[in-house]
Amino acid sequence: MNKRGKHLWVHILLLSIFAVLLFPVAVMVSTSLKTFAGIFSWPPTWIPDPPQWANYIQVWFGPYQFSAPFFNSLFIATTTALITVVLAFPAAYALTRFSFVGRRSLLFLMLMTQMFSPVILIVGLYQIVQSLQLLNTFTGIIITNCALTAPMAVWLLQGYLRNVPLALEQAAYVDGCSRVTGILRIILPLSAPGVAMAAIYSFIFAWNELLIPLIFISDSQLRPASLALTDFVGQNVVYWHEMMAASVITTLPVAILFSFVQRFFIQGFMSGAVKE
Amino acid sequence: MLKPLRRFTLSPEKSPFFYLLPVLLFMSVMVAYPIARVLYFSFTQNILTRPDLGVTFVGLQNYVTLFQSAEFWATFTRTALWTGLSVAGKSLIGFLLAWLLAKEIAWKRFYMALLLIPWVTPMVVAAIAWRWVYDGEFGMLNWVLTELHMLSDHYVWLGHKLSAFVATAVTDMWLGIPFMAMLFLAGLQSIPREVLESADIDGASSFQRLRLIILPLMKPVILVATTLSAIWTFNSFGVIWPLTKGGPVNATTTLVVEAYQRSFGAFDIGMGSTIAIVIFVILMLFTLVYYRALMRREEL
Repeated sequence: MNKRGKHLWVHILLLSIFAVLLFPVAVMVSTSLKTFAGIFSWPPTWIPDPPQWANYIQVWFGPYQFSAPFFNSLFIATTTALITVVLAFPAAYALTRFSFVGRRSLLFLMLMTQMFSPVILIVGLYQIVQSLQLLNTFTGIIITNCALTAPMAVWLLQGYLRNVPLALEQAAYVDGCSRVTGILRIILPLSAPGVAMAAIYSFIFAWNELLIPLIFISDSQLRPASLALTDFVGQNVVYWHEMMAASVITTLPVAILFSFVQRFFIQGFMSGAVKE
Repeated sequence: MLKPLRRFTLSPEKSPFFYLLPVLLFMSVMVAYPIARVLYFSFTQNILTRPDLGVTFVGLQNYVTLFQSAEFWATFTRTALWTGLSVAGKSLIGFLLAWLLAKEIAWKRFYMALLLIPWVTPMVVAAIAWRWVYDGEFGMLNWVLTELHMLSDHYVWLGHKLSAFVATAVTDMWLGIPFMAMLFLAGLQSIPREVLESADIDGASSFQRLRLIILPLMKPVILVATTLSAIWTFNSFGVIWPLTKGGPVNATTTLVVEAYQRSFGAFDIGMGSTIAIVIFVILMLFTLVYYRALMRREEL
């Protein structure tokens, strides 16, 4: 009896915290289903009648053409993830399978770079990207993204690789397998979850990044979703219903990917601080 | 079982450098070189809108000017307060959530799923959704507060200095709460059951248990989580820019926003770089704390 009473309080507390926490999301979804007149009605309604599902079609194909920034983001984020993993995986392998002078410093350097705000590098990066004539190109954004995601990917991957047993790999070497073959045939498949985690981390980073496209992209055809959303608000009349529909669309890919990996993220960031 | 390396070689069989080379080359071009450039720029006068002045080496002049300007110290303090406010909010609410979720309750998976929602929301989306919530004319915040009789008239949340400052921090908190809650939950679940049970047997109250057992055991987790969160919050550009662009009247201009505005708004590359280097130094200090906290429990 006492125990049940206690837990009731826990539920009440939790539900009230979540009511506040989910408030903006509820507003977002609700607004995305309103008519243009509906968003300016006062008092506001929570459940639009009838819900304007057409807003989603309108923002995707209509004057905003949100499909374009969405696919731009998709391309940028996917490519960033691929290149990051290709760069980071061998490095993480080396950091866990060899001992050499400077190994610890290198790990520290990776961790430190991950803490950088792009703002520190951006003036220097702008010059590089400009001199490579990559302003207003996806390539410029992608290589810049990779510079910021690679260190974290190395860090996450080395944490994973450290727990992949050496024995299997060594058996292959005894059988006369070369190291590169061993890595590709044995280590890579075994560390697939870690690789997926690093790739998804990079994807989400690229998907969310605003500062880099803000500075590198002026051609509106090439804007990724994050920049396109910010630009909408800058205009005089804001079509909030369409904005919110675009916002929901922008959230979906991240939500889907994230639900797979959130557990690993925690382990990656905490590695060591929590003893299992 | 690490293999020691005796001589420098690039053989894929024996050498780590074969595997490290791509990332090291890439990082030297894309991270080390830009930082060196920014450092160099911070010693120059370089205003793109005044080509007549040219690029001149001025030594530490930019730093002297910066540290002597009251405006910089105001921005510095504002950044510290904004970061502090946001991190404190995230930590407290995150801890409360973790503490509640660590109990053996029904519907735990349901609550965890709800917790993911703010986490998966992209920063820019969150900022824009909150911007609409804060809207002075038709925003839902005004409606809720009027319904609760806490507000009599429409309030332009992002149009006043103090409310914009708090509102942007709240948005940042909102984004960070799930991460903090998850970290704290992982920490709480790693506390051995026997310890808590023996405390129960000794007749410790819930509050005593929290203060005397849970908090001391959680100290490393709390240190790691708050430091990491402070770094991210300090760096936050994606929340403030879509919400207020640093306004009204600089009320939400943090160092990161200031550095961006100097370099790409006023095109004062020298001063923008100087602020970037100051940010860099501050981040280095934070990172050292994080690294120490992390390494205390780890052999690498």
